Amino acid sequence: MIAVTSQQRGAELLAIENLAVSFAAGQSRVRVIQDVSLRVGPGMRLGIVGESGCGKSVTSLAVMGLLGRGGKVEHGSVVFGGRDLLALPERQLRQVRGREIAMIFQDPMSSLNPVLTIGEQITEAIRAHQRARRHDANARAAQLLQMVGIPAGEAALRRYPHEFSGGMRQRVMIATALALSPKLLIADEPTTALDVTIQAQVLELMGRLVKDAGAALMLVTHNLGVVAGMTERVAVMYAGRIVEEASTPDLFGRPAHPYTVGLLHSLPGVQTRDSDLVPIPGMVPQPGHEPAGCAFAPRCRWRLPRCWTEQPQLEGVEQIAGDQLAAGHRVACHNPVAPEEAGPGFPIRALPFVPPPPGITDFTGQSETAQ
Amino acid sequence: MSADETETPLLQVMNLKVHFPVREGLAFKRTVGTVRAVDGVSFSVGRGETLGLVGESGSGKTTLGRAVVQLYRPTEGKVLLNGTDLAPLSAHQLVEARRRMQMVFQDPYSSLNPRQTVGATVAEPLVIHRVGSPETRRRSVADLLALVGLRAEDASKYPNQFSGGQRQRIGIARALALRPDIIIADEPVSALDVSIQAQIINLLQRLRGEYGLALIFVAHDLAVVRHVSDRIAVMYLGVIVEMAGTEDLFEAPLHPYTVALLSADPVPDPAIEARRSRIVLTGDIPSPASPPSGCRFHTRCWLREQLGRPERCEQEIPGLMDVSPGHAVACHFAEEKTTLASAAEGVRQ
Repeated sequence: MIAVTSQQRGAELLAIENLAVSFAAGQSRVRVIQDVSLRVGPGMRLGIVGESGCGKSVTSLAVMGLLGRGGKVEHGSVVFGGRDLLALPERQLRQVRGREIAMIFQDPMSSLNPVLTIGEQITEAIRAHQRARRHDANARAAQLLQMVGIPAGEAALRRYPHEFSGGMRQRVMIATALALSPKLLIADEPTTALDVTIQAQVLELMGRLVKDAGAALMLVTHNLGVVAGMTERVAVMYAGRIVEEASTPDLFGRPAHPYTVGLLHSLPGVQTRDSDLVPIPGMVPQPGHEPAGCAFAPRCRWRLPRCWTEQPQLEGVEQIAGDQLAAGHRVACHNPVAPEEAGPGFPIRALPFVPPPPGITDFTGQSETAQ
Repeated sequence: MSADETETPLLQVMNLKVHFPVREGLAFKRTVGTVRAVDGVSFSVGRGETLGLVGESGSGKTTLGRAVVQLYRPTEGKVLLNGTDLAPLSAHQLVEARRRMQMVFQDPYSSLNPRQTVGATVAEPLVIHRVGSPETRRRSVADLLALVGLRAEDASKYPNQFSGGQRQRIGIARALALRPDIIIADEPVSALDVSIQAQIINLLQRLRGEYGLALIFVAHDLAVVRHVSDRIAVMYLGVIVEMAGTEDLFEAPLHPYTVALLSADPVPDPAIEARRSRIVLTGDIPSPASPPSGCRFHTRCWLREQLGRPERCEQEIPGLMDVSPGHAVACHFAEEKTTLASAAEGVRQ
């Protein structure tokens, strides 16, 4: 299994342990991620998926120390190459950022400086970390552009970001990010703003370059199709927590968390043509307004009485199901979905009705049917 | 659909062109070029039918949708709704036609007036068309809100009190107020998360069934379009390059662009992703201000490369021709099915 082999590779490149981040909301602070623990081995490709507001971007920004003013790490550690990045002074962190960990963002227009030429921005990144003469840095920049499929390197270096299309800008970002051969590339929704055929170009390029450089990849996205093709392990986030983590084939093949199952059923596919999709009822809770127990309980068709009050821990599926096949498959659920229930169109398990605690809306419609 | 209904389609678009002038200069603007956003498009939509319109940014799909409802006035061509051409109508005359044809927009945040209650927003079409009394309108609003899964009390709230999915429901309720024959939905679910997206798709599907509503569904998400459409038109740089029944298009795409588009779309299944071969197009979509000569796709066409770059592709504009009943394609070499079929092999799931 891929999961096992990447663990066997020994020393972890990145280990996020029990991370919690809060943001200021008026007078108080709201926890946006909680209990997030993740490991990325050298050369490993990890996907983090979830919907808007689930905390996937905050997790990657916390790793880079880029939370900004309102954000604060409440507790936890981010160990990269033996050092806790959260404890490093900004000066040293800057050495890691860009050189050892590089990042690509969703919108290549706002992450490039509009008043500097493409060449100035790539050489700036190179010269910030390496002693290189301007001339050499320029040559290297032209070579990088060539590598990402932007021809006429020298001339392209003198152009400004607005002269490039979205796909070209994202390729420039990838060239810049990989200029210093980082050990880890964090890509936050790198293709969300792009068209399908351009997305295919950019993903193909990113996958090839990451592989050639032997870098690890942390791919943050809402697109399950992109994750299926690009990663070997996936973590699913909901309301600030990791709810499931498994090897990519395992996650898609036998999802165990009701939210993961719901996500997969929500997607139209070949089989859904003449039937209704199975949406997840209701909506994501506002940060700070989750139920005391599992945050997914108000939308969950598998929930038990204890789900309202008891926070489920992320545990190995084999511990729960006594299943040896599921090594490295972790789920945070009191009542995981059985493999035979996870297929499309499978009738939802009929559970005894459990009234929600006061102040919490039940979206499953069980309240009405029970009355 | 029975035969006599197909003879008089609900909506007929004939050789529609929408060109935008490109102007330069400060005080004395002069026209320096033309963006041919939609450049000669013909199709029809039957009663109760859903036509999917797919393409990438710059393909003209949004402009086409808006030109059908006459939000952009066509430069050339006809838009026949129930046999009446809308293009020459005055703004005043159009009001009446729009009763039969409504639009749902992509962004549920900017398409609702933030200072109007939801009730006022949904009732607005009824007020404009002087339908009913204030009392019956209030009841209609309550019915419409219930229809889209909102509560009657929600009528007195403002848009900012709703989530994206709920706002899209409000937009749909507004579009349904006049019981139109056809709704043009421009990327109605692309701003929404997948779990919410599925709720809205199901709602649209249910309404279609209940009201015999026809739908033009403009979207870039191929899986969504496949799920909702009876027929699909694929656009590239202002023209339709292929049009076919949904399964026909997905199972046997004929235009090299369609083949590439389908192969580029990531599928949420690691097993399929691992074994499929992608046709990765080089370069970006050219500017609609100066589309390539001949076939507009020839600059990025992989089939043309395979065929040894025949000159015909650069010189001659391919027309949209029927290759089999209901399957039309605009490619000089669409008949080279053997080559195409083998190339398409990797695309099929």
